[in-house]
Amino acid sequence: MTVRGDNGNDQGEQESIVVPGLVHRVFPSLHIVLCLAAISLGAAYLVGNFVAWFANSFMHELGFQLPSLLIGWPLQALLLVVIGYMNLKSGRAISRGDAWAYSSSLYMNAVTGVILLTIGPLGLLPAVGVFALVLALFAPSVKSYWYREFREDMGPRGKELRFSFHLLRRSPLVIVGILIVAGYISVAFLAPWITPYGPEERIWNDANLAPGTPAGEAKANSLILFSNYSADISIYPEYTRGEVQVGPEEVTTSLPPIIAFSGYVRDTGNDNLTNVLVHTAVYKLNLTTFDSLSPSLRELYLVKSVEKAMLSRPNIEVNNSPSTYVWVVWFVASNKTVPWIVDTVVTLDYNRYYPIHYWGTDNSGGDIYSRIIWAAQVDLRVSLSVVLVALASGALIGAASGYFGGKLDEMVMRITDIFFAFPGLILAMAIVMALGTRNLENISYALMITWWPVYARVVRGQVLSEREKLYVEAARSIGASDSRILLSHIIPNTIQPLIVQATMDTGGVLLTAAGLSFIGFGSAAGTAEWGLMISQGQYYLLNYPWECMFPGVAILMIALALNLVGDGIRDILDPKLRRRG
Amino acid sequence: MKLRDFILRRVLLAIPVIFGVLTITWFLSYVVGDPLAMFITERTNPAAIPGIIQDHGFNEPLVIQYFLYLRTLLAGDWGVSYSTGGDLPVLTVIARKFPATIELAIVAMVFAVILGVPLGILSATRKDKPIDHFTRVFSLAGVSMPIFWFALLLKYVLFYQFSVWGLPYLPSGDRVDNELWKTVLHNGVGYDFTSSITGFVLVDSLLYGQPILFGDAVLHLIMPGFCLGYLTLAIITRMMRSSMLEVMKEDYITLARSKGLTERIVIYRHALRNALIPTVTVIGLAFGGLMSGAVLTETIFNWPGLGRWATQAILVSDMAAINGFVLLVAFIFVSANLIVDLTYGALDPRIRYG
Amino acid sequence: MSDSRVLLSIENLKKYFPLTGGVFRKVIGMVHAVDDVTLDIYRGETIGVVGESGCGKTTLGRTILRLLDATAGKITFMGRDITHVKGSDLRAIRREMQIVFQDPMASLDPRVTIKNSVGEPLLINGVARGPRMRAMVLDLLQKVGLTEDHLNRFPHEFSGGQRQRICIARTLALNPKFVVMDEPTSSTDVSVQAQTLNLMKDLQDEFGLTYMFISHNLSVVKHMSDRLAVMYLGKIVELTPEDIFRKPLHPYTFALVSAVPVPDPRFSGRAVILSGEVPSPINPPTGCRFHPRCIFAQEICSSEEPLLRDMGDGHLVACHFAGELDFGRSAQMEYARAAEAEAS
Repeated sequence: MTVRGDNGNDQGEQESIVVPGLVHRVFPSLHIVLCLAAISLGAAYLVGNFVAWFANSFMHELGFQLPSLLIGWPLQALLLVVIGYMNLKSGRAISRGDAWAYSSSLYMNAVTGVILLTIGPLGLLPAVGVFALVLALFAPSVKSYWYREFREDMGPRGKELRFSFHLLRRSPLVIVGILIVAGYISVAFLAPWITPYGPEERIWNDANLAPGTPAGEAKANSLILFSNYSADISIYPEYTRGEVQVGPEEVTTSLPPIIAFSGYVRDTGNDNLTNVLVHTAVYKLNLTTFDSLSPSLRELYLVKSVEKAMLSRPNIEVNNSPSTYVWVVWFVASNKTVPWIVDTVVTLDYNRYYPIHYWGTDNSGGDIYSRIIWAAQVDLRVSLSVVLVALASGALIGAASGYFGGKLDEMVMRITDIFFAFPGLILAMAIVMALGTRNLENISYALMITWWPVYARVVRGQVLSEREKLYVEAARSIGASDSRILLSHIIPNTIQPLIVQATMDTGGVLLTAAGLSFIGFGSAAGTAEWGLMISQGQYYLLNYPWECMFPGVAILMIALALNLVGDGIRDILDPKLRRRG
Repeated sequence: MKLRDFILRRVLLAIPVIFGVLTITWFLSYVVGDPLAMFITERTNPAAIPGIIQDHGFNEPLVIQYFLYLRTLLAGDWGVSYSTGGDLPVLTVIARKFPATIELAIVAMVFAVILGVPLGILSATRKDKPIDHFTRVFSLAGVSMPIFWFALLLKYVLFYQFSVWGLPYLPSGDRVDNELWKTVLHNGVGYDFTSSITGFVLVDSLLYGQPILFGDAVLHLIMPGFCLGYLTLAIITRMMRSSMLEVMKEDYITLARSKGLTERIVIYRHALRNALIPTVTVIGLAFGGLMSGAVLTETIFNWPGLGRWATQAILVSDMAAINGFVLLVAFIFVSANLIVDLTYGALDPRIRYG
Repeated sequence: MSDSRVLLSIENLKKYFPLTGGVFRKVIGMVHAVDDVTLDIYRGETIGVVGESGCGKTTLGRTILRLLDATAGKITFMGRDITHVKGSDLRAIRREMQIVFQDPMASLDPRVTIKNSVGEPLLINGVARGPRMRAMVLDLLQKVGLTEDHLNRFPHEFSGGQRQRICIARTLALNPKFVVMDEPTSSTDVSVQAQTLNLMKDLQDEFGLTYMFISHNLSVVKHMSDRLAVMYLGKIVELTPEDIFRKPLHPYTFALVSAVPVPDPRFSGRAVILSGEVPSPINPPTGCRFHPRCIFAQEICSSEEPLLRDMGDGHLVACHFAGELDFGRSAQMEYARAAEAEAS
């Protein structure tokens, strides 16, 4: 090929900066190794998941067990494979010297690293490698050589983005929607720290409490002071003892801390609880003083001592001011001839408080506020994974069908027709029913199967209309290959309606999943899941309406917010609106 | 393409879809699930089981089973549902419960159309006015509303709270007040499939010539009907609004205005007619939504229709009932869409050339 | 063929589009978009193609560039048969032959900046990438009168004329030999149009390009072209190196020419209005395709198809009575009468 324009050539020579040799030699090969590792890990997880599902469904009687290491999140595994492949391609592009590949592989490496971190223990090593690669080789090379190119390429995009934000600011409803969605997501992540109770924690005495009632039982933070499991010990007259300092941070609430003992003794002979007395005592002094004192003098410092048979969990309330305590545990058995197994745990329950059940409790004493927040994790995960998997598979099928057309297209369209012949909830119902086990995983699979045709249709329609556009023909006339046209012209132009569709569908999937859960397809009773909570609360509707009102509001709000955001994104991406601004 | 060709093509296209539907239900119940569960119940004589296996060919290869499945379905043997008390054939149960669901769906659709279309028009003609904002929020809430929760909410307010406050309240569920029907009809059973004439309670009460029963039936329909129709109402409102806005931008509307026609005539004579066309398609699609919704609504309002039957079947793993229900809903949905397609083709000549 | 002046030659090129219908979407007919066209294009010339909308001129351009596959016939480019080349060979040939589309907005990907749009051909064909590509793109943009500021903008930030110039820059990126201009100025207003046309002429001189200039605007084509081909219903009816306004030989050309207002007192004729609709390209008329609308039509016109005949100086006409017809005032009156008769 003869290159015209000496002028252009000269300028090119002047501007090309010498690339650090290390980057060009080491980076691509390391990058490719890590990508291959990520892809194979993702593939292994995918296969592991499939085999596990298959074994669970069809080979139950064989008792087939798979190493649990390989059972991770299928979604992350899928993403890992896809991103790994794309990253591999951009790695090759870097070795050819394409500017765009640097920026894209920067993002992809970062995303790969995050996925690797979350996928499970096997991902840790490659994740460290990926991050090290990003930091050690990539960041400096971007700065020294590609920064200018990068900034220039990103400049116009940044401008468009700023314009999008400008449009966004003008529609308050969308902002409200985004804030709600962001709120739900952060609440889901923060659940362990912002909820007084766990997702399945119950306080049976607190059943059916109205919103705003304080709990009948105190909650406390627990600190395990001592934990011992020993077999064949001679118990009498030995004792275990220890010292605990209850500092200012442990007594911040008005309720005094408690030192709790749980002793558990059984004889190895018949594995039964035997007649054993568990003695516990707490003294208010430190260990050295305790050891130097005679037994009678120790009595002076005694806070409390408790004797219980066999199994005990006596609670000893210590003083409400910071002090040092010594605790002593010993066992007295009526029959000393058998070897004993002793299991002792001493915990300090501090910062005790009576949490207020802001949104009341349900009929089994679960705190509705906590459960709703924990359920956000469950419901968002189900709807997001359904939408993402349906989106990925549907988009792939739809793009292929639209681009290649012909028999394939006809076939795919007839298949989607069949899927469209069922209302979503009802097909999902039939699939869960056929799968046998009723749990959220099966609901997810059923919804994935139900939802992919939506995306196949959307993408196919988009691809068909984009394929006819003049710029595709223009690209073809300059010699672009099919894959280039598809990847760099058609797909980027079909993504926007997909984003809108996916955002709105996340709400729709959430509603359907909650509906399925409501009619009894969800996980076991007691799981924190909005649909299930409503389902359980409906029997108490007239007397304790909050039990199903609050979960319902939670669903309504997130679905509303997702619809608002979807609407807003559609408006923002609308070319007509953009042109005007 | 001529209209006849268009109709023929659409009808022919529906046939593979029906076959696909049959294949999917077959796959789910025969390959993934256990087909035998559809034909035996706890009360089946164990000695008869080998005969059932033989009759339905469950020991045959899958391909043959598929054709046997089709033959069995066509012969009207959809299995036995045991979740209805006695072991009744699925088709019998469907025949008894179908009118209740269809009646509810029609009422829901009526709610959706008579509220949705005017709201959409109002919203579009008064764009960015308070009524528009209200309508948009109202319809947005409709598409985001968990229908089962909405049903409970309605029940709590309109039935319980109203009765607590001493206001006239709506019945909390059921198709009719059975005690009232027993007294009026003197038949001892009230209203069920033995005493019904057409299966549609609104029609039957009129056929009995009892306005009081008709009123009772209407009262019972309000809450479930509105609840079921809300989603469709929201969809129709949004669709109507956006297509109305679209149409109002067209040149022929500007022309109609410039001719000096009053705004009322411009909107109702010119714009509405064209804006209604896309709304018609939505109605077909909404039918699927109504069927899904019926499963949830009927459960809550104790409505003796197909939806409640299905949920009861789910709880006791009544495979035959589920399979029959899914098939039936798919058939209804396919035919509703076909009818809408044809109507659409008849309304808008451009479609036929697509 | 052997003539070294010939850059591209088309022999009996046909392009039919299938038309489907009925319940099963069967093929029920063929649209004869380009029907038996033979044409030689010489190096360095501009050949203009005019005709009504739907006469197949755009299809002709696209078929030559292999953006559409020919139904029959042969395309020879630089002595090589390219009618059936595929894959990388086809891509190699496309570097040499480029097209500028009618709608510059639609022919630029809305999500790609100008730098990358214009640089795409360089990137794809491995000519340049990175800073070097940027420099070459800038050079190209400067040639068409744009500046460095424009590099990182999106297509929607430009005016119609600027976009068309961007398209031209992209076309020139690979230094092609042959460029099809498919109504390049029809979407811009007249002042911009003149500017763009002059730019094209300058570029032609600078790069030694061969143009195929497709337009329905006769004056524009005349301004640009060395030779001019008139198409009617998929066929070339007249091909002339001469000033077509002075010497139209085909009755259809005459009708076209007379419809153009000419600022010349010697032309006092009024515009000829052709009677009847353009016949359907699905079932084109037998014989001469123009005969149903031609006032000079004789028996032979409906039965026998006229071939292109050389009337001297390479002036080719496909009419049985070429050169014998009088396009004077009486012919204009005759056309007017026919049009009135149809109107009433």
